[in-house]
Amino acid sequence: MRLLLIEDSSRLRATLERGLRKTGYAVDAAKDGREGLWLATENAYDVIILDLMLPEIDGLTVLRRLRDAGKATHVLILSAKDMVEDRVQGLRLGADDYLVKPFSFDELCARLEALVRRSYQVKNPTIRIGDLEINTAARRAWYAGREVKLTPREYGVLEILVLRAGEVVSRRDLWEHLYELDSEATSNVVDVLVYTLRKKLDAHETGSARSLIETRRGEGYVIRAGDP
Amino acid sequence: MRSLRGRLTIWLLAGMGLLLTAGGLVLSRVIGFQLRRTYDAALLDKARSLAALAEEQDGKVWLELSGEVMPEFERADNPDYFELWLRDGTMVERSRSLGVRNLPRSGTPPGRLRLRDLTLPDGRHGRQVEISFRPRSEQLEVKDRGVEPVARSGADSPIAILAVAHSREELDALLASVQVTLILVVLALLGGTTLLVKSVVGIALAPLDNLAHQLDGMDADSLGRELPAAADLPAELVPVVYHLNGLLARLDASFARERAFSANLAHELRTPLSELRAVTEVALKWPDEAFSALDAVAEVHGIGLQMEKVVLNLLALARYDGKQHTVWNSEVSLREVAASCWDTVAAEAGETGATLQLEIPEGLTVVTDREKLSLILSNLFSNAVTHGRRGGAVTCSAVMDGADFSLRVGNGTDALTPEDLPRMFDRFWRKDPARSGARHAGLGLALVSALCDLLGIEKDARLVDGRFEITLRGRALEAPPFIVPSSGRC
Repeated sequence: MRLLLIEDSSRLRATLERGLRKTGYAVDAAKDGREGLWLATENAYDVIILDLMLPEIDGLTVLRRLRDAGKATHVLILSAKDMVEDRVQGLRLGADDYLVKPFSFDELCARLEALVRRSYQVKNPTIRIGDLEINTAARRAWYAGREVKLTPREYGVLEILVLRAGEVVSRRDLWEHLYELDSEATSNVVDVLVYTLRKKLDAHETGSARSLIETRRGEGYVIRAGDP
Repeated sequence: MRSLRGRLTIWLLAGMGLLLTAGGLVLSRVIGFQLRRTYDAALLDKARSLAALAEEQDGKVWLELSGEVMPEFERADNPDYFELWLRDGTMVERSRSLGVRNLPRSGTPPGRLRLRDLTLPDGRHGRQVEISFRPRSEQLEVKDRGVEPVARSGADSPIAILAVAHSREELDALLASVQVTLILVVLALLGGTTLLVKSVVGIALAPLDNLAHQLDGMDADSLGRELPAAADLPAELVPVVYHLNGLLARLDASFARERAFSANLAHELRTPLSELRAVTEVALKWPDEAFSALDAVAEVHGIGLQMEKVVLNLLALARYDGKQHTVWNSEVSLREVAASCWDTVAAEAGETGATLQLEIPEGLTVVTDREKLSLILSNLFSNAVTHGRRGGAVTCSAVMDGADFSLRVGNGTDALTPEDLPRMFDRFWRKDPARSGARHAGLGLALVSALCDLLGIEKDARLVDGRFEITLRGRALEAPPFIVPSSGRC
C-alpha cells in the first residue's frame, strides 16, 4: 500500500516514514502543502496523511483543492489541533479520519489499515479466498491453515491481489503501491516479488493444478475470487 | 447605602422634605404674623374709636359711650373689656363687662400704644391694647351764628390711658387651623414627592439599568460585541459606554491573545511530544533495525533540548513579568556588546549568508544591565538572521540624543506587513501560521519586550522601505543601583 505523508516537522516526518516503511507501506513524503498537493494530484495513493499547519499551503486548503479536483483518496488528518471545531471542520471538508498529536504509532497504523480496507470495501480484517487467508491488521498470511512467512513487500503484493481479487492488477499498479516515488527499483522487481511469493505459497500447495496467482501476459497478475 | 437609586431617592426626599418643612414653617409664620397684625389693627381701631369718644371739659374727662354703639362691652357672653383712666390713676370709665375687676395697666407713655397677651377676667385668652392720649377738649365758642361747641385736642387736656381687651380665641383657632392645614399640605406634598422622586429616579436611571443588563449578559465569548451607543443614551453615559467599549475591545484582544498563547503553547509542546512518542515507539517496535537505539536517543536528546528551550524561555518571561530579576547596572560599551552578541549567531548567519553592518561609534557607552542588554541584542540578531532576507545585511546602529541613547537593529524582509507589527511582541507569535521549524518558537521578541520593560527601555518596531527595524531608546546614564565590573558579566 502506498501512502503520502505531508508533514512539516522534519523529525516526525522522518520517523513516520521509517516506521511506516517498516510496517510495509510505500511512503512518499512532502514537507509543505504545495509539494504535498502536487504529489497527491499527480500520483495514486491509498491514504494521504495530512498535517494541518503547513507552510506554503495549509492542510485544509490542500484537502479542499484535492476534493475540488475530484481526488477521492482517503485522507487522514494528523494535527496538533485538538478542538472539536477543528476536527469537525476537517471531516466536513472531506477528510476520512482525524488523529490528534501526540498519537500512538500503533493507533496510526490501525487507522491506516481501516482506511485501506475501506478503500476496497472490506470490513473484516481477515480475508479468505479458498485456502488462502490474510489478516490485514496483523499483516500475516495463512495457506491451507499454515502460516506463510512473508516479507513486508511480499505481503504487500499478496494483500493488493487479495483485496482486488478477480481483477487483473498491472505490474505498474503493483509497483506504485509498493515503492516510493524516488525508489530506484524497476518494475522487474515486481515480477521477482511475485515469483518468490508464488514459491512460498506453492510450498503449501494442496494439490491444485493451478497456481493461486495467475499471470496474464501483457496485463499483470490476478487472484481469482472464490477460487477453490 | 451604596445603591445610586437609593442614594438619589434618600437625598432627594430628604432635601425635598427639608424644603417643604421650611416652606411650611415660613408660610405658617407669615400667615400667623399677618393674622395677628390684622387682629391687632382691628383691636387698635376699636381702642381708637373708644378714645375718640373721650372728652374733656374743664379738666374733667368722660366717655360718651352708649351700649347701642358698642354692645360687645355690654353682653354677658364673651364680652370685650375696656378701661379708661387718667394718668394719675383716676378711673374714668370701664366697661360693664368688667364689673369690679380691672384690666392690667402698663403705664404707656403719651402718644404710644402697647399690645400684650393676657388672661381675660372671664378666664379666656385675650389680647389687650393700651393707648395713651389726650381726650378731645370741648369748649363753647361764640361765633357769628351763635354759641356752638368746638371740639379740639388741646395740650392742656389731662393724659388718659385706655385699655381695650378682646378674646383671642378665634385668632388662636384660626392660627391652629392654618398650621394644621399647612402640616397636612406639607405631608401630602411629601407623599407626592416620594412617588415623583421614585418615578423620576427610575426613569432617569433606566439607561443605567439597561447598560447593567447588557453587561450582565456578557461573557468571554461576547466581549467582541460592542455596547450599542443608542441615540437616546444620556450624555453622561456616552463616555462611559465609549470607555467600556474600549475596555471590552482590550479585554477581547487580551482573551484572544490568551487563547492564541494557549493554542501556540500547546502546539509548541505537542509537536515535540509527538516526535518523542513516534521516535521511541518506532525504535522500540524494531529494536534490531539499522536505525539503532543510539540514533533514537540522539533524536530524543534533540527533542528534549528543543522543549527545554521553550520551557526556559517561558520561565524567564514569567520571572521578568514577576520582577524577580535584579538589574545589575554597569557602564556598557554598545559597540563591544553588539559585536559579542553577533558572535553568538555567527554560525546561523553563516548558513543564511547574513552579514553584520555595525554602525556604532567607538566609546559610546550606556549604564545598563550588560547581561540583559546582551540577551536583547542576541535575540534581535537571531531574529534578523533567521527571518531576514537571505544573504542580506543586518544593520546595527546607535546614536546619542542628549541624555538618551537610540539603538537600531534592521534587516531586509519580504514577508512582514504593517499589520504584523502590533502583534510581533506577543508570546509565540510567528509570521508562519504553520509554525514550522524547531529553532524558533516565537518567544524571542516577547523576551526582548519583557527585558526592555525591565530595563526601562522603549521599543519600537516599524517597516521602512522593505526593511524591518526595531529601535530601542533609553536613558544613557542612569545612577546604577549596583555597580559591578563590566568584565565580570556576560
